[in-house]
Amino acid sequence: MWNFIQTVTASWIDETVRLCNGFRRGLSNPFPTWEDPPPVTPFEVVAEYGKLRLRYYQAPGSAHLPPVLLIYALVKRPFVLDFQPGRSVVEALTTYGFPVYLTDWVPPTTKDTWRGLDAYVNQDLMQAVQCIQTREKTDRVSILGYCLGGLLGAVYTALFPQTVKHYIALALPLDLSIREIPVYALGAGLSPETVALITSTYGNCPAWMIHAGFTAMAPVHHAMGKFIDLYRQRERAGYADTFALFEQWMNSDVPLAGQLFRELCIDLFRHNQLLRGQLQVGTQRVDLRRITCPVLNIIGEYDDVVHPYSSLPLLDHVSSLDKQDLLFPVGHMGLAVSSTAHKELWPQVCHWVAERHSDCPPVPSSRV
Amino acid sequence: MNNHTAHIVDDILIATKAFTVDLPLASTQWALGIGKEETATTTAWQGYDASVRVATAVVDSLYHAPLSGIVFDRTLAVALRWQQLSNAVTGTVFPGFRHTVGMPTASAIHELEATNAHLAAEIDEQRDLQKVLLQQTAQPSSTTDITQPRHIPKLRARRHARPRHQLSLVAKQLAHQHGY
Repeated sequence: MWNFIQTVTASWIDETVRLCNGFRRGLSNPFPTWEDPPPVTPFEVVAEYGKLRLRYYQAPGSAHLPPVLLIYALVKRPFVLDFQPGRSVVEALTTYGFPVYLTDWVPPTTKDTWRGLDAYVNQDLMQAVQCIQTREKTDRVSILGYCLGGLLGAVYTALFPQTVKHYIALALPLDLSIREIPVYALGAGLSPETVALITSTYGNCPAWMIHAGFTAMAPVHHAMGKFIDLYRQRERAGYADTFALFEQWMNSDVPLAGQLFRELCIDLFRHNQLLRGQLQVGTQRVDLRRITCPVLNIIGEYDDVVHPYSSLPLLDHVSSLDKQDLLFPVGHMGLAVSSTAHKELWPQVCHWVAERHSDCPPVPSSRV
Repeated sequence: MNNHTAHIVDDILIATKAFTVDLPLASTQWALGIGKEETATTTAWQGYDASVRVATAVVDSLYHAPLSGIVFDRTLAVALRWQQLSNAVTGTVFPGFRHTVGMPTASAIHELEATNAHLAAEIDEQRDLQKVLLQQTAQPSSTTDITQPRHIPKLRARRHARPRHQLSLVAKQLAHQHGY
């Protein structure tokens, strides 16, 4: 009993400290990105554009496969994609032979409130792809976007289809009119005036507010359940370490640039403009029908952050002949870090990309 | 919806039964030595799991209620307006308050720190100079080559030292205080 109280109290104190740090970060600039845990896969930063630091992970041996650009979400730190040995997306791809590039988004400061989809896609991502094209001496790059990064990837692929070889969406929040996830239903009540108030008060959407949003998705779990689970799983080898690392990631929220926050809340979440083909990025309208490259849409069956119904419409809105849904029985994070995904899902994904690299004729679309 | 409600009712019943009947019974049996600890623990966890499911379902239902969205939006809007007011008041009052109480600004403190560091460096320099002079004084005169100039480190410009006229003023004040 004493052990139980000690474990839960210690975890609760750690969590409170992290929460306070998160709150402090929301009020200060710049965000301390050096607090990331040491990487599992070594990398070098090959370029820096605007708010994007482009990391390069070399494939062991001579790379014979096309480069993959991993586009990470803008709301937390990207170390979840290189989480632990055997649970790392970057490791899985490099081991298969893909040279991997990862977007390490630099958290916006008070000077970056103007940054929206135009700056992130038409400037940062476009320059990153140009850099990869030059370095790898290739015309087209495979894009793999996770969550909000998947959305950025979809927008980029629709705007610059000639530069994308394959587009892989991982838990893509595409149809944002879906209100199956309770917190989305609550968020639907947020008026454009309140969104404008947030950005006029803080400039950007502060990190603590994003953290509060994630906590509100499962308040019982975050307030108590996860600590009790930690105690119940204490016999499982490595569980405590994974838990600690996962908590570090959960608390690594970064601010979201003001303009992007407004676009996400009003244009995308409220008016669902991307799916309706009405989203304007810079001077161009984003039309998903311009996506013609092979598309793989990976969906977590038990995803409680991006509902599967939100990701499913992708294939119906792109013009690709070679397109496929891959429904895997895990949650949102499970797609990236679960051992099951790394045993069964990621070898399939790597195989899917490698198969299409050899320029074989496109296979008909399917839903797995 | 009916199925969902039925699940919640089931969970409420499971939790209530576990905590009011099964757990006390299993604990008593374990205490009397006729039951196993494992049975009591399993019953407790069953009750806990059902309670968590109930709590989660209640929160989810609350989120889905349209009124919650409206309340959330209005509360947030009011809180943000207060935050703006607080920011404005703080921004207006604090500079004046600082001036009134004579509290130094951050830049003044930084300047003072820089002056301090400079003075500390100067003291170190003087100490080194003193050592060199002492060493040279201690050397026998026969070995000193008087044709060569003595090695004395150059003093840096004393930007922060008091001007001579101020020093004389301080000396006069001290002399006056001590009745000279």
